Amino acid sequence: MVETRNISLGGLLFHVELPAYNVLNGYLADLKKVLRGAEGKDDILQEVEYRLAELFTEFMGASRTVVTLGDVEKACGQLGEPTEFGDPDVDGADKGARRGSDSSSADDGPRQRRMFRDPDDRIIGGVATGIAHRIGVDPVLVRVLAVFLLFISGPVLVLLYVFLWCIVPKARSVSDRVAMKGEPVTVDAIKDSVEDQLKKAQEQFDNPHVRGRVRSAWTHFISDQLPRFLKALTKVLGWLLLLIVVLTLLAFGGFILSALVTGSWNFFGAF
Amino acid sequence: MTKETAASTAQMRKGVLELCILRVLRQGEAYTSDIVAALQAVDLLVVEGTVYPLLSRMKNADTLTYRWAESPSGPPRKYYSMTSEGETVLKALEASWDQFVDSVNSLSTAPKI
Repeated sequence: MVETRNISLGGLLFHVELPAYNVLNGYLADLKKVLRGAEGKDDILQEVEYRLAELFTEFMGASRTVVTLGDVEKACGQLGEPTEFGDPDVDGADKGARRGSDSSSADDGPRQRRMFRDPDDRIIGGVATGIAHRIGVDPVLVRVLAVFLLFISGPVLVLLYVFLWCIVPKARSVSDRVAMKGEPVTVDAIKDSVEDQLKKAQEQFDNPHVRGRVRSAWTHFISDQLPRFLKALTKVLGWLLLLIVVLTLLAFGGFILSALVTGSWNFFGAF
Repeated sequence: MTKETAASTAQMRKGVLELCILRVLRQGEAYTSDIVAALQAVDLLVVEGTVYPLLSRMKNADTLTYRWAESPSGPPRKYYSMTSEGETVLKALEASWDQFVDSVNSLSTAPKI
């Protein structure tokens, strides 16, 4: 049995197998990224949504009720790479020409890596791995260094960690992952990454622990709800801490300002 | 076809796409998949992705308009049709196209200077 997700496309309900759902989500995330700020973005996304709904209906026919990975790959293949969705008229001829030979120009020079938290290789929030990918070293090195610094600086590092956890986005889509690791965003790189994730999903599925276990409400709570809750809690706490830090800095700035104005460093003497 | 010529061909397709969509719609209203199928049938479209931004832009330029209709199976369909403004645009684009073809062809037949 494969786990499925329910999604609504064009006002219709679809049951989508989990691996297929992940690929679809990544595709749509990439598409949104390409279209960010583009004119008619909502129109285009709506067209895509209705078209996907139509293709899935067509592929499944009357005999199937679940959208498979094959369906999603076929549909996305038919729609084309997210980069194809740029309006040829808006970005002008020279940019369009460059896009035409994208795969050859993409590997010119070193790529700027972007900082993401890596959800595939994390101990707490994936911040250390994110830093490691960004500067191109082994994550273990960053972790060891972090633990070492923890003993020296203590709470400051914890604060910094929570701060980064809040600020740095998680690598959600395939192109995020590729950009995180600094590989050029080409079709092959994305394909490799998708295959990686598929393998991981397959391993999870093949693992008898996962497959054989009937999940009770309690294990469901432990494995799904609790981490989500804890994560939400840590986020809230993180923002609170951030607020405190900002307020402290503001107060400190105010103190210095008042000291400069009154010429006295005795803050309470001002009253 | 090499990579470079493939890229050039893709650019040519993109360039005439608006004209082609209007020519499809001249025969009457059509929903998105009809337009896509008509273009793919004559090899003018490789992936659908290029069409959607164009449809949106043409709609915003009042070249096209659309209406929603129920579908016997699957999601509701967006039927596009050409506005009177669209007809003017079509005529202009056809004129440019003819001139373009003539110009390009004249190069292969012109006597050497």
